[in-house]
Amino acid sequence: MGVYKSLQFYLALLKTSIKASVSLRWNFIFEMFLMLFNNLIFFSMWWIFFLQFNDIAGWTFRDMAALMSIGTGAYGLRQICFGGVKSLARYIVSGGLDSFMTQPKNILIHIIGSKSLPNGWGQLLTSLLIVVLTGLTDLYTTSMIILGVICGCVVFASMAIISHSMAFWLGPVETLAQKYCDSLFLFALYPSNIYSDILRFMMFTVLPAGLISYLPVELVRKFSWLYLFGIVSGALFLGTISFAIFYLGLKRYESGNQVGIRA
Amino acid sequence: MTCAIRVEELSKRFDVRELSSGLVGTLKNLFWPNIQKVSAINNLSFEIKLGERIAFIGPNGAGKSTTIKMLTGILHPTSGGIEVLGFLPWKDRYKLGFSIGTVFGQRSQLWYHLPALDTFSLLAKIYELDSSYYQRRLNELIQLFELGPYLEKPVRQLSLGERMRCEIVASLLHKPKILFLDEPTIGLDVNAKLVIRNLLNKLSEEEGTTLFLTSHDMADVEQVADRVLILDKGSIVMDNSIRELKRKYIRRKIVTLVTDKEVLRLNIPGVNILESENYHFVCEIDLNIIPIEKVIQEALKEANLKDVTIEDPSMEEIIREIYGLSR
Amino acid sequence: MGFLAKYLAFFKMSILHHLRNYKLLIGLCIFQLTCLLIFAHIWKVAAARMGTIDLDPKLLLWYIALNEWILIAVPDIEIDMEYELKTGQLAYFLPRPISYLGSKLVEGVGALLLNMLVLGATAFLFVYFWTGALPLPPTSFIITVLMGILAGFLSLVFTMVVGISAFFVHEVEPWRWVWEKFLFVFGGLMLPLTIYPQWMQTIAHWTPFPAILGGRSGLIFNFELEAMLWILFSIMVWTSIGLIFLYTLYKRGLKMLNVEGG
Repeated sequence: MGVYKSLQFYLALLKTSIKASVSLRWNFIFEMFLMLFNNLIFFSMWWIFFLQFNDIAGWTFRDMAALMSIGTGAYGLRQICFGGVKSLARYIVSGGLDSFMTQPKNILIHIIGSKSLPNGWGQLLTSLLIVVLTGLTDLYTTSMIILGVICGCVVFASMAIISHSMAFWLGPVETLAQKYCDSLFLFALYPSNIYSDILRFMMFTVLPAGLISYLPVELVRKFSWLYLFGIVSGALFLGTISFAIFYLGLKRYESGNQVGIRA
Repeated sequence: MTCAIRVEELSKRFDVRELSSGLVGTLKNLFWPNIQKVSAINNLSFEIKLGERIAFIGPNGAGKSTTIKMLTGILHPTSGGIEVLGFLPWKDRYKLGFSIGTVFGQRSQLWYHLPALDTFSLLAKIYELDSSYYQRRLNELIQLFELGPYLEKPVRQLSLGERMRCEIVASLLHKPKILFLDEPTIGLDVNAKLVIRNLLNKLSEEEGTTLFLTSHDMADVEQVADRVLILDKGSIVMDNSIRELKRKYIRRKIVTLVTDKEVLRLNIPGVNILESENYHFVCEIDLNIIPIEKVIQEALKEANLKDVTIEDPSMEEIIREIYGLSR
Repeated sequence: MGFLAKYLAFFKMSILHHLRNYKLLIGLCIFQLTCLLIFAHIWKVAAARMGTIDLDPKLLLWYIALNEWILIAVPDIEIDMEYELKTGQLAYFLPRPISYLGSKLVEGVGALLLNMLVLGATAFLFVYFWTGALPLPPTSFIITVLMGILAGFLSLVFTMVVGISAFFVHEVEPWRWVWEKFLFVFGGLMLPLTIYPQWMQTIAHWTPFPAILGGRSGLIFNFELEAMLWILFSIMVWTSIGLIFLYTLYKRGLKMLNVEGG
């Protein structure tokens, strides 16, 4: 299916999803502000930490703020634009994929774009608020943060697709996939400049929080072509792999030999 | 092309993992899983012409869902030939998607918190419908299905019957050549069921849409389908028109007599008494053994008849008999 | 005795059920180990600054491990409760001669104990290997661990309070996040409450959070009989409050259901 057509379809889908998420107006507003409140409490924990320790291996409070802004922004964008990924494992196991399969559009895009979560707007708002409150408003910093948010969103979405797609081979992994995504989000909010080699390796492979926290924040501190290349190519790479893994799993689904299939 | 669906020697086998209960069983499954090969579909062959109205029925586990999944391209077969509207479903699923519609009774394609109209607009994009065509088509269907008052209400506020009508409209926007319906009237009250059946019949008459329906409700089968395929244990045990089915398989009639005698005693071979009390006499007559006139004659010897009703057994009984024959 | 047998059956079922879902247990262990690895590193790096506060980084790792252990072991029972309340499955429980709340509590305890066993073993091995020594003499350490089990139960009770709110709110998840974040901050997840600004310590004092996390695991810095009894008392008081609160909300919710047919 053509890229342009896919994009058109996705935008129509996103419009409908956002409309659905806003339809329960009070719930939308409530969730948005609750998320904001939630994040600010978490942020206060770091504030206390930095009151005691001025920096962690060179990262200051300003860097921590950039980190949180990018992390929450990226996650929020994913919740808004690709919220449907949360139900992916469940659809795979319960046969919910079927109705998507009989329609002539890209199945994965259709699924991940068919839900938009209100709390995502709360996350985006947090991101914006942190930028404003901590004075990260110069052009360079803001553009690097935006880049980090977009690429981070792609990384979050890709890892969610990959972990949920494990359902094709391992059966009901919805809770596990959810915990994995939560972990990824959590670790993207912790300073990643402190790790030793093994952990650093982990942070760029099995739990690519490094792509969301380390690289973008280092980029905010100082420009580097290498880091820029790293973030963008990392995001694109993970995005491509996630689609490949999903379609590999779909082939298995079509054979009917996955766990839990019934005649 | 007059052929909608062609299936030849179609087979499907699955690998199924067996589960055991209890602590020991659970641990055993973890390390030594027991995988069995199960044959879900065995050498299925049938042909369906465009415009036909097919009921695809069978007991649970017969393989109906598996067959539909293969016809719609969701599952690929283990062996055999399958062709839907000239396409190979599992290979050309995307292209086929433009020409088929699906209504799965237990799963909704309508967005729950939004009005049905929003889902329709999205579907117009999915099926790449030209906007003037979409408007015309939508108006046609709104009139046909009488959806006027429901379009702007969020789907969650609609009754099950209203929702089902919207569901069917959603599947018809792109004017599919074949409509696959899996339990479309499940959970609906009697009136709503009647409405849906009438609409499906109207659709078939006016647009020539091929209907492929599965249902456990025999009235759905009787009132909508003109041909029945009965599946049991992965094979077709019956493929006949409804009329033929009734004619061939049922050599029985149910006779109800209202007499002036409180209890009628008729002990004739070929007559199975179902009820005999309160001036009501109901029996089942085996036409292979004795003709109806003979039974009435014998009854007249015993009492005066105030009323006589002669009925065919229900589809339920016909099907039950066929299932019984196949075992 | 038939009365207890019912609940014992739920308890056993819960353990068996969670054992079958071993993939989740593995995932939780991995998650816990990753958390511990990260914190171990943060503290190693921050150790250089330890002059400003009087804390040993190795002890801090034990502190965090004892916190994380409870945090991760408590099962997501509020999700099950939300599902049962919202889909009306509660209707199956009500006519039965068994308390819904009681059965859920017992189920939760089953899952909690299983998780605590597996996660506790994993965490203990990791931290012992990393730090090289126990933080306290064996008896004191065992007592601290036992307090952890009580704290886990306390956390479970309040998690159920979050679950029961499904009667009254549209979605339970946002409330879970808020509870969690407050727990992190006022429970002193990463840093002992003793180094918080005074006003925050005062606020925390009037919440159940220290009893669940930091107040309890803080015993490894200062294991004294008085401190231990105080924590024990705290846990018991908050558990009672939690149970009463839970029961009240449940009865209120049921009334709403029966009157309005939710």
